[in-house]
Amino acid sequence: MRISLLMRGALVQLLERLLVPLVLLVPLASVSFLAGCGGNERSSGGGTIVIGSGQDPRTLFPPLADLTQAREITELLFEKLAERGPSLNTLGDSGFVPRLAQRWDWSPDSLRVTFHLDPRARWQDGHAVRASDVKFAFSVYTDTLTRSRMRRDLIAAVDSITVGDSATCTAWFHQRSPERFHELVFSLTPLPEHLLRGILRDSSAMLAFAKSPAGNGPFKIVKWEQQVRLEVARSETFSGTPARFDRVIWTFAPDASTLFKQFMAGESDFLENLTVEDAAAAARQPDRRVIALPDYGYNFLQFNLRDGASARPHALFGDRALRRALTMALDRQLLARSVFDTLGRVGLGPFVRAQWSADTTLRQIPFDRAAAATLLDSLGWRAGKDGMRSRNGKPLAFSLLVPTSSKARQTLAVLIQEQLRLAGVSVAVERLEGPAIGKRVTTGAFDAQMGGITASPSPSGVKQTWTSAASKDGLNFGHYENGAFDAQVDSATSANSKPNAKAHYRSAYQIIVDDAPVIWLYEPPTRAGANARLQLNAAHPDAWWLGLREWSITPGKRLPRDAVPAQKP
Amino acid sequence: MRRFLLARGAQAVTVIAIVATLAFVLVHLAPGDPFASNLDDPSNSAELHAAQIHHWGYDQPLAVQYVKWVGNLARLQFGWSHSRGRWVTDVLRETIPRSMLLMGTAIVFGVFAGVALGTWQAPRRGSMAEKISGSLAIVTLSMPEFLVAIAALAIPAARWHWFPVSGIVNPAMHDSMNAAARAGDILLHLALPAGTLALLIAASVSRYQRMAMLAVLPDEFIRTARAKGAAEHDIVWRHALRNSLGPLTTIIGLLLPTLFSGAVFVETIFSWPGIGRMMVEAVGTVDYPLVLAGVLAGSVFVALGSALADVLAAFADPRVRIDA
Amino acid sequence: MKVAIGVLLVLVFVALAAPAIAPHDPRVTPESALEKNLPPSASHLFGTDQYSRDVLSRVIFGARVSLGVAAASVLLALTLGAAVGAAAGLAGGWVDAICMRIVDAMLSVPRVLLLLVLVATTGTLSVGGIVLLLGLTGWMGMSRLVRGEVRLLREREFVMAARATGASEWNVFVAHILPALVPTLLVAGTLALASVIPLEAGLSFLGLGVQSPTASWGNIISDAGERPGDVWWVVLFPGLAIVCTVLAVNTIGERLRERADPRQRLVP
Repeated sequence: MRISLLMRGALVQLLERLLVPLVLLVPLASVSFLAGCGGNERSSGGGTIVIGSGQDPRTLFPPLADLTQAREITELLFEKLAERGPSLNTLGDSGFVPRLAQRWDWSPDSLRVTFHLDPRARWQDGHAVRASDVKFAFSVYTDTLTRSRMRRDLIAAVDSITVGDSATCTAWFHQRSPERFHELVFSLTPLPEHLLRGILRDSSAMLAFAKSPAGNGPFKIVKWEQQVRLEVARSETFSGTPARFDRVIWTFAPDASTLFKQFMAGESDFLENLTVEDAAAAARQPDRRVIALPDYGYNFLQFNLRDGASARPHALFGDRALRRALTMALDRQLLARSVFDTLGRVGLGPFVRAQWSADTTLRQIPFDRAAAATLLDSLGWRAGKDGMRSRNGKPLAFSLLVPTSSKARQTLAVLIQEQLRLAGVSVAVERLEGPAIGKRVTTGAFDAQMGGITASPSPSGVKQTWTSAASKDGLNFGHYENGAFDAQVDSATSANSKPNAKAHYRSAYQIIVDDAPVIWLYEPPTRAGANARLQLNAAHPDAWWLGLREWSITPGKRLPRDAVPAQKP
Repeated sequence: MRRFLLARGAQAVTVIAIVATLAFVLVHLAPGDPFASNLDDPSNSAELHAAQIHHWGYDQPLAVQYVKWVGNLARLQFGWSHSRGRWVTDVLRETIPRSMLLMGTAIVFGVFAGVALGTWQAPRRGSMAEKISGSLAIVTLSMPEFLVAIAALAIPAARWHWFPVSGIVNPAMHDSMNAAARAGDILLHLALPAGTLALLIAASVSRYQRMAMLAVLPDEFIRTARAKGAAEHDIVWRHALRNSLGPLTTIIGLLLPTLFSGAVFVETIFSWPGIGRMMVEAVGTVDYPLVLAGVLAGSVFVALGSALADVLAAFADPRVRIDA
Repeated sequence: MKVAIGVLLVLVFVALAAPAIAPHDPRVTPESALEKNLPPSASHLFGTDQYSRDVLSRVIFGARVSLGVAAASVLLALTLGAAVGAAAGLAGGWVDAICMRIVDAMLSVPRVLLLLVLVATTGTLSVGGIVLLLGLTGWMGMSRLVRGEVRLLREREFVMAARATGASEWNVFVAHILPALVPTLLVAGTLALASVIPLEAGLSFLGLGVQSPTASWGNIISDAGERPGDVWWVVLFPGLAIVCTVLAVNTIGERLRERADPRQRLVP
């Protein structure tokens, strides 16, 4: 009993004692906080840009960094041989800008190209960048154990890479395909052989490298706190034109609304992928700017033409006429407008309007609810009392996978569900996160999905996404296979002139549009937001981060965070 | 006392053991190989997959697997998180302290506010002020956590810019601050998420505190103090308050599961990268090892927390014994 | 109390008569597809959401789902809790010990985490599945209560007397113990209702509960999406519906408890 009274007294005393310091601590800390970050406006450093991002990159190992989140960081940490220039040309080598390679020359038969590397180039640990690093990188990319998605493109174009002296290497191509130079320099990033050779099969060492790689680019990694932030600083060992920012910081928040609030509050300076509403709200602010990025994405409703993982045709979508009827039942114009307002543009086929192969005159399947109904009736899908159709007691119903990461696709899925309901088709929407969708789609465990592809300026991407070869080993998850389409694509990618290629692309596009393996929905307008304090000196048309090394902070608009110098890692 | 401590400790351990076993059962009920998703992940090799199956003993009889499972847990090995591309233990090492900071701050401020409110209310029983504040507490308790969090995020943070919108530190400045400024930076980011949780704790605690005070106020010693001519203010805030705090630790222990559930929503809405948001994301990405580690960590936290609360309560008043 | 019962009755009426009361179709209609995010007005009293759906109609239809899921899951939890609690209480001994240890363990897992684990293993759920999940995670506290009551009742004279006449355990349970449990179950059920409604709303808000286009109060709020501050009406009205319901149910529960056992104190 005595102990208890003592303890109770002690507890109360403890509470009383804690109260005062706690109450004092908050204002005290705020004052010291202000003192800690104020001033220092005089510093003339390059400043700090904060970029809002929805997701961590999963890895910073270039062969595996194929998603945008990873590319925008690795392409600042690593320097490629050459970069596709602002012209976005992908044929031959015209327009390509020298990076690690100062120049290159072709063999007379155009089957070899020799790169002359910058002799001053250094890895961020101080070692020189050698030609053997390029050769080594090729061996890593093409090793099946690496599982790089760039492997297919690389081995399709390049036979091997040989080393001349420490600063020259030669790439040997299989054939004179028009985009062979692009395939090589776009896919391949040189890797530091002296750091990686011994650890390629050691997963924990590779994990460490993928988290904090030593690159040869204009920035080096300083700190990566998963899901919170990633900081890179200007690299002193970089031999090219140095970047102007001292630091680039990504902050990560999973949902778009938080990111947008951060951007509007000035906590971040740059935000890619604004929704149409957010872009409008940002444009109303005098010190926020909205930038239209070139639109390389196209989104679609993809049918699975096969029954699960088997080779049998899907009970519904194996039927071309049914797919066409479903396409007719959708008012795609209204769908695009209801999500993107006036910026909404209907998808036309497996291409985007920004590609040179684009063709807006293709014969499209028109929106016609009555024709769709007639067609469905003729296929034996009769409407019941509730208006929903069925055939031999089997309802006309399917499930539609939608990634939770895409607000637009979720909205559209709901709208599509409603429009198809009017046609007597019942759709169950399944919302899943990206990786879960990936698993279902790659194993064939789906009826239909709301898919999207970010195309590159080169139209040859259709090879990886819609041909029969891509159905076996590629991104053609719906297993659309049509020999006539494949043949036209092959002719187009090996054609020697642009008009010739364009004609073949047109024929290919018309075939796939008529077959309706997917419903081409829309090309999303891509808008980025930038704080007006940024000077966006170079806007790179296809990948904004490639211009970032030339961006800077407007002198009068510096913030306390701009005074923080590039730190030693 | 020692016997009580042992019994209470044994109870907590039993609880954790049962939860671990339930988790084992669940992972085996779940369709397919829990590491199958590793195969879809291009950064993981087939060898890693095979190594994991072996490491976790999925190629062995169920009984052996169970022993291995327990052994791995004892060594705090929870496997590989495919959605993060890291070992689960590394993820936990980052997320648990963040959640503890959030919940700890919320408890400290929530309990203080709740005790103060309840103590203030008790002597004013029946007055308008007491009725209004009491109803406000009940209304607060009837609000789902996520609704409070949305409101806190939408108005003071997003509209008035009083607080940062999300995250745990100022991403561009934190590393270059001095120690005091760092603490201030963290507090500033903590204010809204911890405040949301603290509000809910305060509402709950104030109701108990009010009742505890009402139970104490008619006591003999209070009348004695009053007879001695002590000021009314001193009677309430010194004598009565001191004697009403006995059940407080028990109540905090009982609030822990609710607090943890609340943290799941608050962390998700404020992008606070703690264990709650980790769980929600792990469910979304079907990352079993991460989900299981999260649920285990959550139950260990609650089991140990309530055991600690009971022990403290027993120290404070040996008459209080919880049937073990 | 009267107000609370009134509020609840109105809500139940709204839920039952939803199709008759709702001014609009709670789903998207092709004609209205371009009326998104409209603030409250005469034609849309609660405004519209980002899919151009009438929020008032969704709140009305949401009452059906939210109240229905809550009521059904509480019934399930009550049944399970009563069964386990009665079994443990009647059997006693090691059956009792094991049951109660398991119940303790499950009680120490925060319920939201338990639900998250179950959702992770089952995937996206139908409304029935959510009822099942909420029921399966809600019975533990009730079983403790029932077990305590049963152990007390077992020793009471009228039960002893009944057993002495040679009635089977089952008959004694049905005829004597079960009726005596009703007040306890009623109170526990009402209070459980008050905790299940926000829980379902929270799960649906996270996108793990009731799936759109079926409206539940929780997923209406998540339809506010990007900027809840700008489309406050999409958050406020379903939010008010939740708070009012929980408040009403809580008030009724507290009163019932006071009536059933005035000595009992609050337990969270």
